Amino acid sequence: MNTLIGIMALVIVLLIAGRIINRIVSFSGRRAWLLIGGYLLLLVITVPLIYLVPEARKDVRRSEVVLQAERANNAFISAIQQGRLPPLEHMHELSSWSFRYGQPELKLRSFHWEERVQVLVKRNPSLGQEIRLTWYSTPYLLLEYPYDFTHLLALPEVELSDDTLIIRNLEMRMKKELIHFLSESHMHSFTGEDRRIYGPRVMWGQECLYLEVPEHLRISASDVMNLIFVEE
Amino acid sequence: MMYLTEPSLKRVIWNQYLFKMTALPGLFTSLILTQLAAFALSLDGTGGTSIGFDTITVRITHFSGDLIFYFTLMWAYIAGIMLTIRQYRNADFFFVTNRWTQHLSTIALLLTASLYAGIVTPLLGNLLRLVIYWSHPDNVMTAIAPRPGELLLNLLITTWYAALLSCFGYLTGMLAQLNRVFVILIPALIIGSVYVQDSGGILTAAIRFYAGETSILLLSVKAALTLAIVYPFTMLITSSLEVRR
Amino acid sequence: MNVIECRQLSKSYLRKRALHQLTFSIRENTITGVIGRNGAGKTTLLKIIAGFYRPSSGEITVFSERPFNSMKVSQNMIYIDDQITLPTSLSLLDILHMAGRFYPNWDHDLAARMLDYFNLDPLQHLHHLSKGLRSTFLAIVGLAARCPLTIFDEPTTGMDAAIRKDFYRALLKEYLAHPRTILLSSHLLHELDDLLEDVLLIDRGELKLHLPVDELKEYAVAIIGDRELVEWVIANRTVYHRQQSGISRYAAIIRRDEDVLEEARQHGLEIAPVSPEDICVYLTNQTKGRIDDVFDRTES
Repeated sequence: MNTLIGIMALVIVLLIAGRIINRIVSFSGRRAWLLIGGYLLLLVITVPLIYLVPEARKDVRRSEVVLQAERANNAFISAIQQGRLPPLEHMHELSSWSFRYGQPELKLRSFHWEERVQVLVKRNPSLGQEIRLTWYSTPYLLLEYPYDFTHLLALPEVELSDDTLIIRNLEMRMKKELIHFLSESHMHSFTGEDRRIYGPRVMWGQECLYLEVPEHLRISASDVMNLIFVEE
Repeated sequence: MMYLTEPSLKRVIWNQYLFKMTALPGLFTSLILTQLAAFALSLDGTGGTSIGFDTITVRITHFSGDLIFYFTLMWAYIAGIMLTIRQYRNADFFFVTNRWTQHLSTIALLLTASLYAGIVTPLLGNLLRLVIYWSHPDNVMTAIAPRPGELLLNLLITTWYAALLSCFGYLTGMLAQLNRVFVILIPALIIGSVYVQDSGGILTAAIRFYAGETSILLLSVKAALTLAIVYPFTMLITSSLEVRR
Repeated sequence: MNVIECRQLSKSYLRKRALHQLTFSIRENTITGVIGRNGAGKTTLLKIIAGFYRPSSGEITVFSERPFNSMKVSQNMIYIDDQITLPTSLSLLDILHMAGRFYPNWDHDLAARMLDYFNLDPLQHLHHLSKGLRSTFLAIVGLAARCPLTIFDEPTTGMDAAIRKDFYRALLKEYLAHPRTILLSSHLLHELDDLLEDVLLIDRGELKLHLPVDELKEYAVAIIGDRELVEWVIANRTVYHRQQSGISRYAAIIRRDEDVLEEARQHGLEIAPVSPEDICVYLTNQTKGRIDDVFDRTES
């Protein structure tokens, strides 16, 4: 009710403002009709525009996307439990880094680590003095639509300092804004949408840091980081 | 002797309609201004939720043409009232009219304006989506474009609502012309009825009558019937109004 | 043929009785002046004729129809006064074009030429004009419409003397070239003497007289001379006005009567005509004396 009154008050203020503006600018005859016609024309042009916009028509087959994400998550979890590398083809590769490193020992440090992120280490004989990191994630989904927002995750900064690999800025990783277009409330009785969405349902993805290191490198990490050595 | 002209009702209504369309562009420009204001306000989003876990917070912002729609309805109601003020009605009598042709031409004007509103309102909602998309291309989750059927449906529904609101505005304004009392009485009744009864009274019932409709055909019938009853009623009760300054 | 027929027409409001039992008719193709003081009811009468107001009682027909809500009357009639407001987004030219759409006899050329003559810019807007120019423009519209019934209610408000003269000339020329029934209300009767054919005098809502101007000119005479003598000569006659304008100059105004005039001449009294305007003033005089009395009383 309060919002209704608030809106009405706002409208009245705006209309009065509009009328004052009208008087000042003195829209008369021809100029006014130019504006009126132009406004209509401008808006009519948006019709083809909106259908031509690239991402405009995302015809998502809902169940398919959700199913795939579920499968990816399940595969990830069972792989981790078995100490294996999860199937990377179902995961998003978010970022990768590589460093030249010749020292025998590497320490991993982080200033804020999320325990649920796994660190998978694989010894790669073909790597001589190089270490490679890749950040992977299974899909993060907003189930209603469904929308895969994994690409919006902010990634940490990785820095090699002396004998330590520092991973920072893992806090406040995402405050990303997602935009959802609703049709107008008077349309809902026709489209079946419900205005009141009781919070979105999210399928949280699984993330891991995949580290490829030379054969004989010794790695240590702080307690919070869960190192898993994976075989092929 | 000056030959007396027999007037044709249709011609007079048409000429009066033309007169009003030429003379009152402010009717349409005020809609544009109202909509631009609503557009600007909608850019901030019309609602939203957040959800989070650990270091990840997802904030979802809703955008819709709702604000624009409600502003437009407000405009329609006020437009209906504005056309009943003495100044405008008296101007008609400078030319050729009687009270019936005056009403009919004004109604035609309101219907035209409602149609215009019905077209530009959903389209402005589209423009809103485009603008938001262009400024945040990565963040948009849902399809931007409405299904073509939906767009047409929106046009139709908005036109009906604008027509209904302007009709009620016209009735309100005319009642006020009959007796100043109504200027206070009608808003008081409407707002009062919301509080008095538990279920929200007349206003909510009226809204549910139209807004709860799921069939566009039925809605059209309801709206058309309402117009066909309220407008003639308005015309009848004011048929003896004098042309006073 | 009578364009307007009026029988026992009355109009009253909550507190006021505006018109009372008026009965008259207006013939086709005449110019009638509707004369009276401010508040006499001229505008009320004209608006009833135009169909803007409804009579409270009595009958009125215009073109054999009741004017209120009559399309026929509205079509063949135009009403011009100084209170007309039109939507501000219309330019003068727009108004002329609109008038042309509504009125079949509209003469656009005439209107355009008159606009030019009075230096009115057709692209200007009505509400920007001064009072005099507004009246001028509206008067032009009234003339160019060539409606069978044309009503001018105080059309010269704000016009200066030169423009008023032009307006009367234009009115007369138009009337002669395209005859129509014209009702013209004004309180400046002296200017309209040559223009009007008939005069309708209204006072306090009642019809005082309805006469051709010529007859009105002969309606009353002034008998001037020594006071006692004048009084004796006019004994028992209705006197409209008395005035002492010098020591031995006393005037009494009475209805023209040949017998009295003969006697007056015999006694060497002066006889002077009374202008229509004066007689109208005397006939509508309120019985509170004259303005001089207000001052006289304070002096003594």
